[in-house]
Amino acid sequence: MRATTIGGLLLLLIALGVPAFGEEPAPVPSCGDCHDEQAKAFLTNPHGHGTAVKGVIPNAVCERCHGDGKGHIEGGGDKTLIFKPAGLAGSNKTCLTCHDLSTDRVTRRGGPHSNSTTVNCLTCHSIHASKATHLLVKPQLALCDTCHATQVASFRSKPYAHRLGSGGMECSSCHEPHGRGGREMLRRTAADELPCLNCHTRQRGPFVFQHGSFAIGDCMTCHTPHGSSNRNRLIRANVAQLCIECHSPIGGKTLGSQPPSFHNLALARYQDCTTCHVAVHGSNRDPQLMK
Amino acid sequence: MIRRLLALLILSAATAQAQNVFDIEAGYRFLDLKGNSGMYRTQINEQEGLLIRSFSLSSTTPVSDRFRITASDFGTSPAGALRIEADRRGLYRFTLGYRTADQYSIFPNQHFYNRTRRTLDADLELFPDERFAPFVGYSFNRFAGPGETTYHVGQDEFLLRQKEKDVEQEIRAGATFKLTHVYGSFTQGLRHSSESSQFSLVPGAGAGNGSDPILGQQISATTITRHDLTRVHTPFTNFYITGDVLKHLRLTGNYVRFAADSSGSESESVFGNFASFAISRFYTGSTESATSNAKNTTWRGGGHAEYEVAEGIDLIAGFQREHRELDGNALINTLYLQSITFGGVDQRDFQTVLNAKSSIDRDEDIVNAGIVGRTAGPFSFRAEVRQSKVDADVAPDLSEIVVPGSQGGSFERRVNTFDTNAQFSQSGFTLGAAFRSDHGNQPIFRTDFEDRDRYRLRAQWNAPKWVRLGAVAERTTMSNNADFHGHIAQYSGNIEYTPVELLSLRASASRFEADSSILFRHPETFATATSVHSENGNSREGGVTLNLKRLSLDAGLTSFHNAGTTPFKLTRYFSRAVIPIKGRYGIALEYNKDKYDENSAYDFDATRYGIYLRIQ
Repeated sequence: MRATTIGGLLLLLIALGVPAFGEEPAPVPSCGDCHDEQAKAFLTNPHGHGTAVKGVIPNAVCERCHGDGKGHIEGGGDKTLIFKPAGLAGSNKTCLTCHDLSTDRVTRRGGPHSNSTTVNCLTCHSIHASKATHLLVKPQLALCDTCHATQVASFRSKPYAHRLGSGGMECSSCHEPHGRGGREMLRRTAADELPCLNCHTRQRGPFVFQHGSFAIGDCMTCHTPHGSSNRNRLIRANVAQLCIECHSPIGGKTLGSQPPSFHNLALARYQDCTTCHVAVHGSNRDPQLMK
Repeated sequence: MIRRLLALLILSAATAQAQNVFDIEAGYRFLDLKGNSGMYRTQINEQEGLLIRSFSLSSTTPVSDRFRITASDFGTSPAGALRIEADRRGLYRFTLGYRTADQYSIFPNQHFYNRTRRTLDADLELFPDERFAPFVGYSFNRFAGPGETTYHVGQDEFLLRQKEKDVEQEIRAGATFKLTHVYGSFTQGLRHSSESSQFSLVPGAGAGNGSDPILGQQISATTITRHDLTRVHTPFTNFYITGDVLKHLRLTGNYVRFAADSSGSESESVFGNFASFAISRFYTGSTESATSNAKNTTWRGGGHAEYEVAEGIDLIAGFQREHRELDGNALINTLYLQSITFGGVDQRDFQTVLNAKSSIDRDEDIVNAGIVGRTAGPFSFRAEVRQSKVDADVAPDLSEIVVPGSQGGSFERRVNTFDTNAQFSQSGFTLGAAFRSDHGNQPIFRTDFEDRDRYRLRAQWNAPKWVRLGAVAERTTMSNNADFHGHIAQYSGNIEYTPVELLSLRASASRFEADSSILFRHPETFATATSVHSENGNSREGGVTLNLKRLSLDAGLTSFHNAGTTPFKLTRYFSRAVIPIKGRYGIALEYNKDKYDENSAYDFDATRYGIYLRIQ
């Protein structure tokens, strides 16, 4: 009975094509056998984590972007037998198969940074490994400096600037690199406000007496967000100068009232409007924004 | 705080498994500061003490197949960040970001604050990349600390000590969804903030800023106390949906709405000798209480279309409408104590009640259309026309009107924009040009442009291996018929030379110009004059990076010289050397020097030295 059972099982194994005892299955080469650095990085990479089997990234994961690797492996690593995503074509054929996302603020097709020969996914992102966040090829400030040198220079060399590259604040804290263009290149809060208000919450209001420059305009009516030579990142060197340029109704119909005549600009006391008008962003108590 | 965090990070590293990637750099920084410490803290604010320069750990845990912690600049740095990411494929994705920022300012004159902002953002998404993925999020923002401010009362300004504490919390929940040809996201959130300020007279500041008597009376204060408390509730809804309607046509619709509702209560007591032109009386003190309510209801909705007419060529079009309603009212009750007329008669307590109201309505429509060519050989281009139309109604509060006019009314401003750019990129050489022209029909504010042109040129050459050259030129000119003229220009050129793999040299030069002029009216004489602002800056940067087996070195110099309305010279040096000791251990040495010179009491010269232990 026992011999019959064992014999039957053996026959069944043979019929199913399972190798007989004593024969090892031919090992399937892993991409990581040769590309060990990439394979190691992929264990905790957003593209590869959770796919490892016994600590090894399966070839199928690599083949999602590189295509069928069988020929490449059998050809002893022949580079002509594997697809290496690069440039515009590489980005279009690999990255965009999963990341072709359009929202109200983001697009992979119509924005200034949409895939082109000049700038594409692989210009900014390093797919296998990166020490920077979001798999960027280098830290953001250095990366954006490649094309936007004048803006980055203003952060580095002007006395009053947001601390980029330190404390988690980066170009993309305020800018949406995949944005649609125009003002849509700015990020918004969850409630769709300007990114300035993510941190500067007190200026958000609402106030009973809102400064018109913010209610009708926005923060950039008075401030420059990048590096500035002026205190408080104002667009003018002197506070009185900034205020009086709008608060001088001369011809035409504009918003901004004329200060009463006791404001003698020749006196030091009246050269800094915010000495008295301290609630310059808005007030709940005083129409003249003095408290 | 810093010691606990350091211990926590080292503990996480110690428990890290063999395959984990881990590094930390922590140590001590010394500061040698000469000159104005207030200006140094306003501009730089790097202090002496313990510092975690950087930390990162990538690992797996029993509940996550990707776990990553990164931290930077915690301790005596003015801005630190900690980020935790944890994922389990197909099950969840979690991120937590914590940031701290010390904010210090000695401007404007007599104003000062030394406050810290701490923010936390946590987001959890379940079943990411699945057809239906719910998410929840929480944000916390606390801004608190001491300060000083001026305060105008009774015809003089007094210096007050200020204690501020603002706390904002936000919760949000929603879901993303994906169907065959349609995907989108829905978020519902609630934000609550509480802002509290307490003020008291700075000892010795009772004489006020003004030395001249008012109608023969010297103005002074013995006591000033104020307490302001404002609470704001803001529910918000955010939604978008995108559909691939036809093979080459993609449509996106969006809607967002928030309704911020604030309620404020304020109380104030002042004692001393004061005058008020509003009631034409002198008085010896006042008590004031105010309650207020303000609302901001804003919604924005619109749609975008992207149509791929040929491979790599898309037509785009969109429309957005935003509506904003701001209104508020305040009931202010003021009791003037022992008041007498300017003539010295009729002594009595005098009470005023002010019921003030305000409202602003603003509508903005933006319509755009354009063409984007992304794959025309080595060329790419983008051209877009856009029109923005703003309608605003401002109702002035009657109590505000001192000099009639320009405090309210209806305003309409339309801006037509033509925005285009083109690039050529081949064999490491890139040439790009952009032009944008905006034409506005009329200004709302006097400095609004009617005509604005922006030009940008960029050239870059990445020679094989050893050199990279780049140059950018940008120029913006603007004007309006209120005699406003302005221009901003920025030019920058840089070179990076890598003669051998171990050595890299870099240098750059930038020039910045900003000029504006506009007529204004002197309030005291009603005479007109021209307001002129000028910035004229030159910046130079240079640096070297050396990577040897036993030493890596990075050093550089930046100088910026501004010759405009506020002339100053700023010079910054930095160097950093990393020396491996044994195995995973090494030492990093840093030297920084920042020198600011505007030939005034605000000048400073600060040198920082840092020594850090590195474990990799």
